[in-house]
Amino acid sequence: MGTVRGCEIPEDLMYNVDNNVWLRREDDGSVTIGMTSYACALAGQIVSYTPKAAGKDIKKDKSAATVESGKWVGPLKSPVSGSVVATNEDVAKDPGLINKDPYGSGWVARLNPADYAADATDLKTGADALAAFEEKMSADGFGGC
Amino acid sequence: MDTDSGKIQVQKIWTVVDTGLRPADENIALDQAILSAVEEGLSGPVFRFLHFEECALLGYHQSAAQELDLDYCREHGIEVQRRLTGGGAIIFDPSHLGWEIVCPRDVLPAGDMALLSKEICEAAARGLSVLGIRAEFRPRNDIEVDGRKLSGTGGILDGKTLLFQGTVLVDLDIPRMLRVLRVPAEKLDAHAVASVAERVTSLRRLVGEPPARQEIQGALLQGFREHFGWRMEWSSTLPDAAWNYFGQSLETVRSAEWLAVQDRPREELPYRQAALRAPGGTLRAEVLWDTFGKRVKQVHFSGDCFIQPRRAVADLEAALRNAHIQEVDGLVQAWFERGKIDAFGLEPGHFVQVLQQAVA
Repeated sequence: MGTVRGCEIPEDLMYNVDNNVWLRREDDGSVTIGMTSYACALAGQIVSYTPKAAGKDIKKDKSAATVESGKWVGPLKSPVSGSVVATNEDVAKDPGLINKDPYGSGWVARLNPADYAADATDLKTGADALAAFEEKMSADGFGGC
Repeated sequence: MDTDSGKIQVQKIWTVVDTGLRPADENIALDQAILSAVEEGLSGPVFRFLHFEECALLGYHQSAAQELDLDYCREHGIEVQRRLTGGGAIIFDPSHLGWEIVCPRDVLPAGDMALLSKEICEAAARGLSVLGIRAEFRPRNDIEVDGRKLSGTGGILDGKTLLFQGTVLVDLDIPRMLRVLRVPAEKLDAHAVASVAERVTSLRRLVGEPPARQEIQGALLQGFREHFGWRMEWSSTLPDAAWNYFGQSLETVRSAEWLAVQDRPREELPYRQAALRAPGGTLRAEVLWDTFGKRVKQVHFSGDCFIQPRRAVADLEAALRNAHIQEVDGLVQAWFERGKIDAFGLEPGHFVQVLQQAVA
């Protein structure tokens, strides 16, 4: 498990660092996406979650779900284009799961990607991702998780 | 000065605009339009004053059926709209003043969302204090005077661009508000009105005849200028780029799909109450209880007990808004310790117990 300024950044996941989202390719070709622990630290306790419904087409860098914390609404921008195949009912019942387990039970959406190979070229992983997050946190003036 | 630095200079000057009295759908569409224009780099930062025809505005994640008396709204021609921003349902009428900032995230101090709220609310409070009142930020997102809420706020952070908005209650028709909004004190009697008046205030109540609209606007702008050091210049209209997005945004917010973003049934948000006899007196809790998410959407404590300082109960109610039931104990304990509460025999456990009884 990689760590940047106290925030867990698993090195086996893919990231859109600007949008602070992670992506995992599943065996069946679908992708699971969610908020990073850094995004959770910035947001604070998440109290609402509204995903785009299953079957909806999402364009790359457009909202796959919105979350709310402390009266702030924020979209979770999908790192790839695709159609929603599943939303997280456990998170709908308890949005705080995103804070508790952002890379596990707090996942935000599953999509069937439209063109994974093309969209994934922008994403970072491993040591590159850790370096990019360090740079982002520095630019954001972030003290740490 | 070269072109690049000229562009940066333009970006740093805020456009201040008053878009006049509008129906709710137009105001919400303008929010989206300005946000899009700023996000695309087609507009510099915007400070907008808003005026609404009478309406009820839901927070982005709220259900109209759960939060409003929709029959009453229909009968009285009160438009229902959904904000882009978070927080709870509010009423808006032409007496209220709305304000908002739309800007790149990096225009504001670095930090998390809680710090952003604090900074913006402190700027607004500083401005309102110019009117001769002692306005202060109350976490998480309110501006209050002597423990009573004068201004509620909420925001949206869309990538690197944010919109943060608030209200100023210039005048407030509490009975009307109680008819439109679902609040824990459901009985529409003098007690309910007095109870809301304990928690909410208005400029009319604070200073008598409210200041002229221009004076309130000038005070708010002064607060933001002084707090952030921004250069702000009035304009007669929004940047063209925002108007270019307006038609499409209006179509979106007028669609049935937009209002149904959240359409959970009223039955999932029942009104519950309980009373507890404790050494310090009888303590009552009235709760809007989210049975789906196991959250306290709103709670109202009352009773014949005596608690100091006077604002303490309102602070506790604000801290418990949207709290998961498992968080209640910790939040009540923290409130008790932080606020130096003197509850004359009431212990933190009594507040937890009566709330748990209500939702059991």
